[in-house]
Amino acid sequence: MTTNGATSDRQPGKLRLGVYWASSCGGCDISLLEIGEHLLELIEVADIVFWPCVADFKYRTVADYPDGYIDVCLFNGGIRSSEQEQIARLVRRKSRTLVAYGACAMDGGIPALANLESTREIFDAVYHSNPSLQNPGHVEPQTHWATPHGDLELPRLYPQVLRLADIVEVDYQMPGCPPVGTQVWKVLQAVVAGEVPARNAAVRVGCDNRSVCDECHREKRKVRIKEFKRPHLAIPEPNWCLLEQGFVCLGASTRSGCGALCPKAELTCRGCYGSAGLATDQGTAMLSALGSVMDAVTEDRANELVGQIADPTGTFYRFSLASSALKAHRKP
Amino acid sequence: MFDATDSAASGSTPGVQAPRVGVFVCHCGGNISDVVDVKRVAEEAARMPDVVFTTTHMFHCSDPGQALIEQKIREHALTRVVVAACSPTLHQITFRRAVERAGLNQYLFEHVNIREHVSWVIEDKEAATAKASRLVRAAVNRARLLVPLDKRRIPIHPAALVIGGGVAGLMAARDLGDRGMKVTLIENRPFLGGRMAQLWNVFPTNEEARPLLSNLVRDVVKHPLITILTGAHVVNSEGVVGDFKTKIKIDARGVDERLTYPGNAIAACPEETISEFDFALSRRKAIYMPYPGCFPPIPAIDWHTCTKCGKCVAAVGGKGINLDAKSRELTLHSGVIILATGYDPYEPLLGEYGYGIFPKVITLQQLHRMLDPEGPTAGALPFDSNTPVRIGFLHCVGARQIDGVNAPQPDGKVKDYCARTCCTAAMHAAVALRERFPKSHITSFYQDMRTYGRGHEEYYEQASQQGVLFVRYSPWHPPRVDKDRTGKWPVVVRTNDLLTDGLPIEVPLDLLVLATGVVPHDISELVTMYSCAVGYDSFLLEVHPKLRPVELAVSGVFLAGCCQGPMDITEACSAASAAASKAAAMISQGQVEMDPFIASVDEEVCTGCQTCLTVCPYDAIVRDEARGLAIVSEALCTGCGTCAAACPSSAIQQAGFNDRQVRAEIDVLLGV
Repeated sequence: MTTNGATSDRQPGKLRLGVYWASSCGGCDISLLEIGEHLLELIEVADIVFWPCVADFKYRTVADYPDGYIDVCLFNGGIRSSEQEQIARLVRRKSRTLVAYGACAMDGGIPALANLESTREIFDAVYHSNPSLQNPGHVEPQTHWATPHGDLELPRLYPQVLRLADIVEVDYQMPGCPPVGTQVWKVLQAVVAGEVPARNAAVRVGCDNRSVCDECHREKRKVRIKEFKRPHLAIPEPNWCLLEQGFVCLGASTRSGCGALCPKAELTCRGCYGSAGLATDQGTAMLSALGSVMDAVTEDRANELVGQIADPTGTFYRFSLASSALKAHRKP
Repeated sequence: MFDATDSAASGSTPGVQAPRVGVFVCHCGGNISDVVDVKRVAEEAARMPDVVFTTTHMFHCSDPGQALIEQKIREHALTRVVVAACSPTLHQITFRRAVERAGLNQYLFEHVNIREHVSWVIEDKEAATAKASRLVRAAVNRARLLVPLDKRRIPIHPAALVIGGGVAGLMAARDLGDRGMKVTLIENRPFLGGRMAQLWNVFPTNEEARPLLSNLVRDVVKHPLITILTGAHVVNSEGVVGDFKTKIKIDARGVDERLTYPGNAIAACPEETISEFDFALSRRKAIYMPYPGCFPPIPAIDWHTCTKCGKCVAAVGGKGINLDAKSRELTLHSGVIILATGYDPYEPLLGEYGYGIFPKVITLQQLHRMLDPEGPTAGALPFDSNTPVRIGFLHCVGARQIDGVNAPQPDGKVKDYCARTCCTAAMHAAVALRERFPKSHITSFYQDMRTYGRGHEEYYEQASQQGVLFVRYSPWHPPRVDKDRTGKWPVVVRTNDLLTDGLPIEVPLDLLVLATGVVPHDISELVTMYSCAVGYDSFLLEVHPKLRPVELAVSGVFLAGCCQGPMDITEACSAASAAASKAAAMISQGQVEMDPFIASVDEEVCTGCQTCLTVCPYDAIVRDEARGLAIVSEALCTGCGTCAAACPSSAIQQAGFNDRQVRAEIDVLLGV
């Protein structure tokens, strides 16, 4: 890690840490606890000045902070609603360093798969056609509501999930769904020590510079893929590259840093650490790679093989749809 | 949408000027502008970042059109040029040169096809203009990120490899040799001459085939610059234009020049097999020569038939025959390759028009062998010249077939193309038979008479005048060949004659000759090795039938003769001479210039996942085991881009088509 005198960003006294949870599952908040007993060390040097998940902070409290009051804000989750955009802009103003923390903030994550549907379709599914739903009045959430005590303004759902960087300037990206504990602690230590790389939205922290294949113990045999298999329908041969065995493993197109957790547990890499190397579109990178290593000379055979992959978008863009060239499904 | 850092980044790279884009939109005289509002395309392009100049022109490819581009480059200090016009295959080079004349690196040019891709295929003016505009804006966004590149220059090894020792290969070898080029000619059979050697007499000169061929063989054999290797098979090929390394395996011949009396050895051999040279009309020994004047003029041993009994060795006193001879391998280094792998005559399926069932149904090739004085019957047909023998010719056997009417071939397809040579060949044979059997009755069953070549129609004329009867059949209802119920005739052909309003006709025959089609010789291994383009008919596909008729898309590989499609000898020889001339021209250049679009690995980024090693069709990528990285060999890389597309970490970038450039283009195309 190179330092750029980022220590000057740091205010005297204890470090002021913020954590916010936007459009995500909450796993990222929990991942901070994965640093275990180091949490006690963290509390020694850092004050938590904003973390709605663990303590009661009103938005007004944050709004009242002077600009740049928060030293580091770890922002997890993508931007799905007007409220999330509002908070993103607020914490950006109040934070010296803003980190897009976790796959959702960085690449849209799982919630961005809803970009394949329009808001209308999502509303239909959630409030009307869902079989386990009872909504006889076909009520839908409204953004305005007049009450005797005054008009209420509720957040509006955006037509698609955006990345944090689509809304505000981001200083660092930290991948993972969620980021693994060891990496979280490394990053926090660096922050505390002031040893952070030069600010750049393209700089990822909390990961390494190679691909998951590099951390994976499995052997490549340079064979072409003859058949795609789903992980629950076949038992992989240990120590042999899962992709070559026909399991759609995204390791080759995924940034290293997790320690190849999934392949070590006989599961395919799902790609949560984002694109590897210089690739900007992880799903397309994997698709191109896959298209090239399939054992298919004819178009028919290629179609047959590709047909064996269940849910291609959800597989190749599981965490990165909002970062991809596709971004969202545009209905005519 | 536009990465603001892009301009700054490329501007700050040493040697890369900041983008000042000029956009030139061509009317193509109305070809484009009748449909596309070219002015609007230019105006919309002008709103793109870094665009400093836009214009339109009636014909940008014309001299004034090119001069305008050069002038504007100087006037506005343009550093990137986008021309929206016809297909890049037509004028990309034209515009690159114009850009270069104006002092700009030619790879700072981007070509947009708004004719074939837009105006010629879209009628709706609004839609066409919108598409053209978007394509141009995408090209502009990509052009902003272009960097200057230098052409690659590869020295050419001054030698040619000709694969195939038939008439086309021989011709190509001779022409190359006569131009002072070193040539190696390899033939996978033990003897030179190919299919032409099996013919008795050839049109349009009515010359005997083998004396004609012998002249050519003699020229080649005595040529000091030509090396001939028979029984040689290509095992493996590496390298690219200028530097092909072809590994070949040479079968053991078992016989050398010290064998002075081959006849004694052949007579002594007890093992026999079917003669492929005589199309199974005769049998030959395990040690054999196909015909007396063959080359090399010594026998070869067919190891599948030979039992190594040693009787031939004993018959010649042990001189010149070695039954323990081993095959050997050799690597040939050449700058260019000519493929002259030829054809096989179509072999009718069992029972197709009675073939293989009635002994009196033969192919035209077999007829040629029978008419050959050196052939299995010493030139005699089993008829007396005074008998009123009835002979039929059936055209389009294994040619112009119709799916659903004709039985499919083993590959599941029918031979639906015209074999081009058989109409004239059949007429040529019919005329010859009429001369030899003046009392004969000859009937020709045909679909369409395609005696298309110079001096070919004369055979049809002659045949007509000599009383050959023509029966035209419909390809939808091919003739049926049956047994004669009276038992008087060997076969009967039944069909409906379109020339007499489809009247059913029944023609009893003494002999039915099937004028069979032409299929490419099986060279599937070579096709894979050289990544040859193959047409729907399984023949090799040239780059362009008119403008580049004897070149394969793989640079440095040329086509001669029937590997490219059915040809008569005249055409095959022309093609061979053309291929030789193209190949010689390439060798004479001393080096080939290649586009600089090669792949390279960013060693900092490569994750060693080995995906590229699996996909490279040219084996141009190797793995540095010590560092766990992929390395591209520049000399072998053809710039196909497969690895760059496959690389999941984008560590492989292709010059001129790097991810940022391509992404910039896609972003605009998708309207991101």
